[in-house]
Order: sequence, then structure tokens, then C-alpha cells
Amino acid sequence: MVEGGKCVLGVVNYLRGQVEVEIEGTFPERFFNLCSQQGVAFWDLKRQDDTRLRARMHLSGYRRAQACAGQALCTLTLLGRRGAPVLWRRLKKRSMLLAGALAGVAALLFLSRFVWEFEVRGNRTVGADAILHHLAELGVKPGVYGPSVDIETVKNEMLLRIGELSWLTVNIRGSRAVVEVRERAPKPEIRALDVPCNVVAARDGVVTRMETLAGTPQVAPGQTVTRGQLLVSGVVDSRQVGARFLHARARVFARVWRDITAVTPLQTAEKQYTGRVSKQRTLVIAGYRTKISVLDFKFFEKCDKVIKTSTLRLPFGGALPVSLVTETAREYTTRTVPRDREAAATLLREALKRKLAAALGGEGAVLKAGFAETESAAALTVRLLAECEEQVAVQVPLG
Amino acid sequence: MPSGPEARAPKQRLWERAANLLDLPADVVAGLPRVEILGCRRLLMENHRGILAYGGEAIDINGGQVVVRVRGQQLELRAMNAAELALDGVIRSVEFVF
Repeated sequence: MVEGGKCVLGVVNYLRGQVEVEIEGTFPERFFNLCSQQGVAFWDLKRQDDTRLRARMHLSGYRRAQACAGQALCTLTLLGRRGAPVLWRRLKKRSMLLAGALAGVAALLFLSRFVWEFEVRGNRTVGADAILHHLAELGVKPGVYGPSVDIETVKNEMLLRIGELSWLTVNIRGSRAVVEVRERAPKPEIRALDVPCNVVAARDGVVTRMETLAGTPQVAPGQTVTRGQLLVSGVVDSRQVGARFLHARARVFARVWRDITAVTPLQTAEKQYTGRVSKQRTLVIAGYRTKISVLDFKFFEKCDKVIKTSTLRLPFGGALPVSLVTETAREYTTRTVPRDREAAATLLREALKRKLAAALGGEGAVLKAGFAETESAAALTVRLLAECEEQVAVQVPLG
Repeated sequence: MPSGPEARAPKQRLWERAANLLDLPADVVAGLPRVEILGCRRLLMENHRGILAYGGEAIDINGGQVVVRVRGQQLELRAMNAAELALDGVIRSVEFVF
């Protein structure tokens, strides 16, 4: 049908080429009839006035329409041509432009076979940089020819190189490679329940409570124990069975006293930037570096070096293999300045608290804590004295 | 050409009768015009034989044994080829003139 699928029809009309014409005559219907008899389809008719109309028709039907206009005593004026054939006719004369366009398309097709962008997915503890570094060592890096990558070999090599990975694959789609990884689940601690052992105290303290799961308790709550003292014995002796050797298990909580000390100097070195800066810009295209700075990069004896990499990106987010690396070295000198005593003491107290919490683990609790500060000529010493309740039982093999 | 309700209905041609008898679509077998009207803004017609009169308020289309007269306002031929045509505009009436 002449009306069907406007979009598709528009594309077809563009590909076939179309002309806009003006028909002038007293009886335009004669022209329409002759055109339809000759197989010349037309559309988008617009009346200009009583005798003039405008319409569009296919480029191929224009000559026949001219003949029809002559027969129908109408005047046919060409207003414009458009579509692919018209464009082609215009481009045919500009051979270099056409060659450039073709070369562009060829370059696009050729370069899209190379991998320019990498993305690592699924990693949690292993860094993406480490994975990409190992891949680069295997030859899979920006600029690699996609079809040349042997995925199976890369997989096997990568799993051997990075022990934390249990599975890896590289999906190359066009110029983008997605490295999917799965990390290995950590090996669980296996308790050798068949190995006989005792439970002894890890620290000096006063036993507050005991939870004996296997073995014979050797102490009771309220009793003072010293480090290494037997708390639960793995040897069970009975008249009926005789001596049995067990894997003694127990949780023994005791009040213990911890004494932790931290020292910090009361003078510190402070950076003072001299204002001397050296910069170097490097253009990196597909891994090849080209220095674009005129001046040589200078390293000062004492300097901060900052490297900033700006990657060229497409508007929709895809990265291009072009980046600008700016290296900046900023010179500084150091001078010794006195530190604020109270700030230093607060810092040490916080550090001691963190250290104590880490030592107690999840099962311990601080019952009482106090800090003592002493100051010498150049250093501040903070001492933490804490009374804690913590789990002191540790297993030691028998014999 | 006689027209109006008092006009005599035209005789059925052989192909029309055959199509009716065999329960076949008459537009395909006998080449009768098929007219489709979308609301009052568009008219599509298949198997036309050409346009007899073309104006903004009336367009006469040759349908073989019958002339289809479309009346309305701002009537315009939207597209046309050898077998089909489409009209746009405000359609007030469609009349079959024998």
C-alpha cells in the first residue's frame, strides 16, 4: 500500500532517490492518471493554488512523468532532487573524499579488531591492576589483536599465576575486553579432633568462667592462673575404661591486666615547598609513550612526585587508547617543628585503644582502663593500664 | 450519467456474479474498487481507474462501473500509483455515481 510503514518507506524512497516537482495545468488529474498508467507513483501532494501542485516522485519515474506532463498539457518543473543516487552522483566527482570515507570505514573495521579497553569484573580482594599486569605479561594488553588471543591458554596461565583466583575468562567484544574472575573461597580451618591435646592458659589472670566442651577441668572460677598453666586436661582416667586421650576443648575467661606503652617524639619534620616545580607531559597512544614536554623532567633531592593520567573518552563512556600522563615533581625542604603535646597525647591514646581492642579480639571486654603520661626531653610516652576479661584458653598437643 | 436513489442499479457483470456465486472476494476476482475510509480524514482506494475531477472540495475517482465522488474540504491527493490512491482532508460524504 502506498501509505504503509512510513519509516521503512522513507528509507526506501531515500535509497531510490526522489524528486520534488511542481505541476502547473488546468487539469492536473489528467497528469495523475497518465502517471499512474505509466507506473509513476507520486506522493506528498500539496496544492499551491488552483492550477499549481507540488508532489514527490521517484527519480527513476521523473523522465516518464515529463512525458506525461506533455501529454496532459501541464508544465512540470523540477524543484529539487534528493536521496542516495543524488548523493552518489555528487560524490563520484569527489574521488578523494570518497576514498577518504572508504579508508575511514576500513580503518574503523580494522582497528575494531584490536582490543583497546579492558575491564575487570568479579574481583574483591585481588586488585584489578594486578590482574591486568599479569594479563599484560601474557601479551593481553591494550593494542593486542583480538582474534590472536588464545583464551584457554590465558585462562590456565592466569590461574597458575594468581592463586587467589578460581576461575577466569576473557570476553572480547570488538575493541573491548571484559575479564571476568571468581576468587577462590578461603580454605576453612580444619580442626584435628583426633589429635589429643590439653588446654592451657595464654596469659596470667584470675579465672572468671569456664565452658569445658571436652576434657577434665583442672582449675575453677576464682582461681589465679599463670601463663602456660594447665586449665583442661586431655587425659581422662576412669576405672572402667582406663586412661583415654582426648582433644580437650574449652573456653576459659579470665580477668587479665594489660600494660601497653606508646612513644612519640615531641618534634616533627614539616614539609615546606620551595615553589620549584618540574612537569613533564607524555602522550600515550596504545601503550607507546611520546614525550611532548620540551623541557627535561627534573627530580629534586626532596620532592613529591604526582602522576596524573587523563584518558580520552567517548561521549557515551568508552575509553580510547589515548591518554595524557602528567608527571609533576614539587620540591620541598624539611624543618623541625615542635608538636602540640595534647594533640600528640590524644593521638597516642587513640592508638593504644585500637591496639588493645585488636589484642582482645571479638570475645574480650575492657573492665577498667587508665592512661599515664610521662614526658622526657624529646618524647612523650603514654602508658595504658587496662583490666580486661578475655578468653585465655589455648590448645597444646599432648606430649 | 443517471445518479441518485431513484437511479437504476447497474447490472452485475459476469465476473461479479461468479465471485458472488463462489463466495470469492469480488475486488480480487472482478477487479471491483475497494474503498477504505479512516475516520473522516483519509480515504484509501484500491483498483481505481484514474481521477476524473480534482478539486479541493470534490474529487471524482473512476472505479470502473462506478464513479466514487468524495466531497469535503481541503481534499488532497496524498499518494497515488497504478492501483491505489490515498486522499486526505475533511471528508463530508462519499457518493457512488452510476
